[in-house]
Amino acid sequence: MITGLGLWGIIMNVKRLKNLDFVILSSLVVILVMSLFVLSSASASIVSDSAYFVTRQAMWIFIGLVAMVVTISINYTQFARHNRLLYVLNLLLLVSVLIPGVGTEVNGATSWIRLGPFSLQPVEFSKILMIITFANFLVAKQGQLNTFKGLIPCFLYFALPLLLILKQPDLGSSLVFIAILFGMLLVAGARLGLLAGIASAGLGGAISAVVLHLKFGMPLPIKQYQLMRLLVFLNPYADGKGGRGAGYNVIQSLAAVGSGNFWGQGLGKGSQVQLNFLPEHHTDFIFSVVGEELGFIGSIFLLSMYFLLLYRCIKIALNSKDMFGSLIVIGIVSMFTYHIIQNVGMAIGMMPITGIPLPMFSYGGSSMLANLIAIGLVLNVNFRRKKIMF
Amino acid sequence: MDKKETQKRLKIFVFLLSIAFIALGIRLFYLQVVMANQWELVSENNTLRTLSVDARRGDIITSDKKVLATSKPVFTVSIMAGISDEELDYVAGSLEDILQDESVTAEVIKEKIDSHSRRFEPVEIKKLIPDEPGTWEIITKIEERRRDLPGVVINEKPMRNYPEEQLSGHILGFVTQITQGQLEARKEDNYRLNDKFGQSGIEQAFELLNLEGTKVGLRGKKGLYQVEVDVHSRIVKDSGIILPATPGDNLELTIDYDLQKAMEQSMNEVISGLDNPKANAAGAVLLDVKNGDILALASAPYVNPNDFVDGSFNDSIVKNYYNNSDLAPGFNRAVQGVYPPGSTFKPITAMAALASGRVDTSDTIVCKGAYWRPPYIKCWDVHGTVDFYKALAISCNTYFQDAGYKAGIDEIDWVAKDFGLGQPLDVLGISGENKGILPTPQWKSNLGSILVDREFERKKQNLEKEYATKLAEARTFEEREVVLAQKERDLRILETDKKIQYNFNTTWQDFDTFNTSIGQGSNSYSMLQMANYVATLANGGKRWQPHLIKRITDPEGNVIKTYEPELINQVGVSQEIMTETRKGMVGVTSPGGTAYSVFKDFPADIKVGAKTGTAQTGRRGDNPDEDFHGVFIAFAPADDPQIAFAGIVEYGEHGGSTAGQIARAVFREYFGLNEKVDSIALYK
Repeated sequence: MITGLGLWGIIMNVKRLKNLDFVILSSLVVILVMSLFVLSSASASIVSDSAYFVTRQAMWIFIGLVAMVVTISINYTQFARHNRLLYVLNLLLLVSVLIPGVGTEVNGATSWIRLGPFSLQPVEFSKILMIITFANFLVAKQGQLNTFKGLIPCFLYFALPLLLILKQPDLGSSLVFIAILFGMLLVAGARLGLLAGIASAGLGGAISAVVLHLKFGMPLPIKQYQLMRLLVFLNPYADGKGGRGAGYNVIQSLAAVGSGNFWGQGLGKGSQVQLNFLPEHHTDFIFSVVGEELGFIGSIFLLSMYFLLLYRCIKIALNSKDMFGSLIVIGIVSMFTYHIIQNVGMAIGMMPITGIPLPMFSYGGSSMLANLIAIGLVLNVNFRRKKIMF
Repeated sequence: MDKKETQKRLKIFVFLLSIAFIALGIRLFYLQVVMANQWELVSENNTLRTLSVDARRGDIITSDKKVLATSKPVFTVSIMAGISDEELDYVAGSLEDILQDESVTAEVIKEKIDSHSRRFEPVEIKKLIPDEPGTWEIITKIEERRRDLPGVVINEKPMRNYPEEQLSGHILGFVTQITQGQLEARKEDNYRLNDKFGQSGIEQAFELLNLEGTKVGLRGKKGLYQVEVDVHSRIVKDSGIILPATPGDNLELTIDYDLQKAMEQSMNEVISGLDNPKANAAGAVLLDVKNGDILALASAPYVNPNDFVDGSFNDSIVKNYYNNSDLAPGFNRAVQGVYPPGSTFKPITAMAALASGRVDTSDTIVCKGAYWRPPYIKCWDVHGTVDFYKALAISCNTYFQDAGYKAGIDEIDWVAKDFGLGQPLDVLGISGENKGILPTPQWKSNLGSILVDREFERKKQNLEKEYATKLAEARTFEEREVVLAQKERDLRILETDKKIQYNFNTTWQDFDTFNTSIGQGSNSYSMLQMANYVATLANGGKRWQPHLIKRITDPEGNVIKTYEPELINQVGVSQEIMTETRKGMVGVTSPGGTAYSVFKDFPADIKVGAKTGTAQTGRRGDNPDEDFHGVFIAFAPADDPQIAFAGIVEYGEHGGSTAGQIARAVFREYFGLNEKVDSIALYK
């Protein structure tokens, strides 16, 4: 049952209002405002109407903020009651894109569904549903996470949605799921040695599979060009095409970030962006725009904002009144953290190229909406950290 | 799980988060602070393209400062390399619509781009000449559609232009786009694919040469300008010239504009007045006898160098004209062509005869219409009693055969060689010179033995073949023996025949001397050599190196190099002999002489020394009794010679009425006789 506290109620309740974390809110506002400025510069070279992307993004931010407030207004403990329903809803969401006629194929992956004038990416919302349902699942499994055997149900719980995502195929998002899984297990109390062991076995296994494939031709379930795309960040010039081959995106991104120098070229003045040498610079490679036009100082500032936001979130997890709340927050922190490291890392040649957006920054309605809902959930947990006496 | 454990876990989380963010920060520092310059360079290389600006090619002017070759500005439509395939499809289609030129279709454009190997350099699609119709419309259309035509640029460029059209076309040569071979050969001179390169004549010789360690030439040095392009190679900003081009050096020729013009005009008039359908070519040279300056040098049919630079050559009529092997317009008849001199050789024979001491000017012979020694080569008339002067004036074959016989071939060869016949002249700026043939006993021996050997080998091989079949057909041993004996006998006959042939074909015969004496046989010289010989005879034996280039000046007009007259040799024939010979040649233009009619209206103070020639062409397929080249040599004024002429009109038959008319026209121009006529005409 949803408590009678509506939006109005929250605002009127001064006692609760002070529970709102203003550090999170202000860093969020800074990130969002910065994203609009950077987007306006980045999109100027894509469409003749430079306001097109910015207007749409602003609209999504508005919708997202409304959704965030709505999310805050629903007591998160209510979600636990409908856990099974939410899990099934999540699966249905992921299945929907795979149904011909419902899912739309973009760049070789069916990740979108059309809803009237908008296209939505179900996987963005699926992440949040997964976090809520898995948090509830883990609360029930408290104390049973010290053995490998005990972890198996957790993996199985994750496996179903993960397989559906890989079916799209969307490698980037499935890695986000794995990051969420490990982040939440860590805080839920799984044995540290065990987690570290599994993580290194997984990573080691993947690396050795690639090495075996490259050296001895061991078959892998992905196509050669996909593998090259993943590995090219190690040496963008490796294919001998003088930077015009598989390494092109990485090189152009590095050139953008590098040429930004300490102070940046100035908003709207980065040649890599404005002359379109940098591909996908309003979505996946938006951080490179920050790097080129706002320089080292701007990049570090943006990263600091993210760090501040995440740090405060962890604080909220610490102060949550229950484990369910902590796990929800940690799931969301894990999701954001992975997104940021992956997206920024890709732009600066530290991570392989997998197209996932920079949270609350890249252009894209679904991800903006889902991320603001996620922030709403975090604030929700903070809001109800202590029993309120009426 | 207790609160403490959760706290610990969250601390681990914060720790891992911090490490990840610090790693990102360090990497950013490395990229944006430590390595920034390097990545800036990559970014600049993306956008900044340095393009070359063509240098204005140097001018070529006559000695009287008339411009023969210059450059005029044209517009070029080019496509920046690096354009994507889909865009190219679109751009090529649009350009085809705009240009409306059958030779520049979308297919042609695409092929040009595909075959272009150098990235970052625009590929020239079409040249637009400012004063031609349609040019401004095309430029306006392209400018209007700029946004739809990514990578298309219009540039102003100098284009070679020859304002006098075909005048002195053979001397000038022309420029075209550099060939692959030239590109590789001139690698160290920084030539590029789209560059122009001199392909013949002066344009080729003075393209770029090393003069005492410095590079001089018509080419000049390219400049550089910079543009900023986007990822589609559209130019977004013109950053301007960063290194201005240096124009090429200018050349001043020894050619005199009016004389050259007079020579070419009269050449064309003479040719068009001839009935023989084969008569369509001529070549002539006019030298300054006092220093070797080439005052005029022409060849017909004409070459118009503009046809090769303005695209006219793509027209099939123009192309067929230049590719017509019967006309061979590109062949320079004055230098590359060698011809039997015919009677114009007789002054050499005359000098050799006098120099031998065995003939005196007063000695006479009686011409009965043919020489009295075998093979009794005919004279063209029956001249009766003939002395030295009369022989030259009437061109008596009988007299010169006998004079040659008395002088001997060695004496003739010595004199001819001394006057430069059969010797290469290697004139700076003239390429493809043919040195001709001065027949000597040694020459005949070398050539003859090769020919006889070749013929013997051919016959021997036929014999072997014939007997191989006969042997194969022989059925019994006896038959084989008979066949082998026959073969042995036939081989011996063949060898005997070879010895006879050898003797006949390699040993100098008397009739070889006779033929040489009258300028027939194997004699063949270029008109440049002939003019050089006449000039040497005219000036009293100073053989000056003929030269075409007077000086090279830099773009500011400073003289880089002046080519001074150069004496090759002083001939060994005495002044007296030359004086007598010149006197004889004046007789040619005097009443009774073979060229009397040519110069009879010249003022009395301008006497002309000349010699006519009617030479058997010696060409395969020609009728030796009907087809003759008209050859003519002359110098003037006879008292103090200044200029010397040699010319040929192919199939012109009579030297005086054909090549002589060219000499007449040029001499009239030189001595200002045309102006007098003109001024009289004005007052009428």
